[in-house]
Amino acid sequence: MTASRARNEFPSLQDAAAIHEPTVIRRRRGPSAVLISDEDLRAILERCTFAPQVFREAGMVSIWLPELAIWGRGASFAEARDDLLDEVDQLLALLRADARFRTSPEMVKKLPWVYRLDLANDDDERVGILLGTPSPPDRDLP
Amino acid sequence: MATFGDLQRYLERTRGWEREPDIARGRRREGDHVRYARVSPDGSRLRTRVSRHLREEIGDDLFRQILRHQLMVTEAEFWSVVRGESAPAGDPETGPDSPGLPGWLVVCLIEVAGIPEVDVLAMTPQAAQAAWDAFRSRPHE
Repeated sequence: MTASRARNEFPSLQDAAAIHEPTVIRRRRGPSAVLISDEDLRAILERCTFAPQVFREAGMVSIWLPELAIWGRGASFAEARDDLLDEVDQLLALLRADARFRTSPEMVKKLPWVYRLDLANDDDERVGILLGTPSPPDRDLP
Repeated sequence: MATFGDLQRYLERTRGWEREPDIARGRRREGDHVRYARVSPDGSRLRTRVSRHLREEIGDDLFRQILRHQLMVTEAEFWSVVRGESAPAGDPETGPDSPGLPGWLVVCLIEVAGIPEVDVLAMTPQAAQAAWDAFRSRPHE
């Protein structure tokens, strides 16, 4: 579907998205976009799981988040978790403010994990995404 | 063991690293760390941060992650910069990452199984998994 047609038919495209029908919107020049529902996007992103690693050393607790290469640190696990949430906030704010950073090749690979955190409604949901129990197949250690 | 002072020295002595503004303004733990970034021509960035407590040791495991994934240098390169030496040729690789405790397992052991945090954090990943398996296999009311 062309962009101009999509503009005219936007309400019906939203209705279609709500019943799990995606719409590809093409422009004559430039990349296409896809309209899907919030529910579908969240379902797709659920596959992007996080595997934070917790270290206790030098009298402090550190949580390393390999998917985004950031860490939180504190005197207790709760402090380290809160510090990590601050780091997530900083990264998301930076990505919103800097299009070159957001579109750089290294960051583009990480964007699905970024989107997942960005779509979270509050800190509790973010903690669940980062530190929640994984689904059974991922549960056992290698 | 490396301190945050060493890390800051490395960043100050390596071209391209600059202070990153605090955009999100730390809702929880404002001002504990100073962030640095090194921007490449393609817009990608290396990012790290330094505790304001410069004498604090980083800890071997976190230090290795910072070297490998944030600074992208070997340990030998890092120390040669910190000590003001020229970079050695054929640096040995940074040692292997030691696995930390999976975050979800720490949460389960503390919040569900009720094991004290200090005991959980002293476990190896295998011991933590065994403790969780033992808890799950126990009959619960």
